[in-house]
Amino acid sequence: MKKLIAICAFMFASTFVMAQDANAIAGVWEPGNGKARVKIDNIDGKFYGRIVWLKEPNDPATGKPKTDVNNSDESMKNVPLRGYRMLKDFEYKGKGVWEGGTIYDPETGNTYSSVITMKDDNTLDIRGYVGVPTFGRSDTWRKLKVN
Amino acid sequence: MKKYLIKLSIVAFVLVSSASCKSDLTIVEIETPELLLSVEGPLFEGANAATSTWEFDINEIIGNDGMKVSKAKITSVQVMVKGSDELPNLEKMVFEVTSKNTSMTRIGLYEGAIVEAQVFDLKIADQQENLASAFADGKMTFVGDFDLMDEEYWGNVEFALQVKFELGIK
Repeated sequence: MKKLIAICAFMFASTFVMAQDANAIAGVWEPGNGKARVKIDNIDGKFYGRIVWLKEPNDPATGKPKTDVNNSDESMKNVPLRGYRMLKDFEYKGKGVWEGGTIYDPETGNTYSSVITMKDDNTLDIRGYVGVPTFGRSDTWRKLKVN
Repeated sequence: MKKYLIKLSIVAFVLVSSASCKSDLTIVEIETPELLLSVEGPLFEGANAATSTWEFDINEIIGNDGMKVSKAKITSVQVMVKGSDELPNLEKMVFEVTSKNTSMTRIGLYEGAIVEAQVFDLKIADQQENLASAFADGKMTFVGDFDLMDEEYWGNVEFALQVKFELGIK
């Protein structure tokens, strides 16, 4: 009986720790180029990142807020870039790695497969690739302190 | 001449195959019950995400006679902000859907002001991923990103949501 209770307690503790680790990615992050800030949060067990701040929020040509002009779907070109969900569908795989998601580059309109690795509490390595991760490009994102 | 006949028979085979596939599909329209799309405050200026989960039994929807959803797309999304004493200024909505085995897909866009107790229809995306696998999951999550125009708002924001689907079943 004691053994069973100990196993149940261990399983509960493991699940709790796993969930805590998974949510370590939640927060506001700044990509290496400093052009945007992205808020990552958990929706139904998967992780998503939305652009919450842009260094240049307006299109210099029109003076109006930037939109997803590079989207291949004509009907969605007016979707505002501020608020845009550019990281999608990441699932926590343990050991500080989130996989199975995609990253969208609004500057080109391209979507790439992506894997996120947490280097430390304040640093993410975000790798975008086509096909296999070996043939990809990485960017380092820094966590912003929210007071 | 022989080459021409071979090409012709390949084209005919493809046409007959695709026609027979099409005729197998029965198209039905369904709609969700009225759902609550909500977000808890505090909310801050800019984009905020309201979510709603729809759980369903696909056999109840299409009948339990071995039919399966092969194609699914959203044809209409209607949203209405629910009344509150001091509703903040809200604008625009980008609407997305996801499920366990479906990546989050952008479905709709509304570009005007969101006015209390007024139903608004979202513009539906021309290009949609096939949502059939979401029906196999038995549960979908809808996400509505809207803009808060005020600096902050400490209450919750709730929308009534109704979504229509066109399903191809066989």
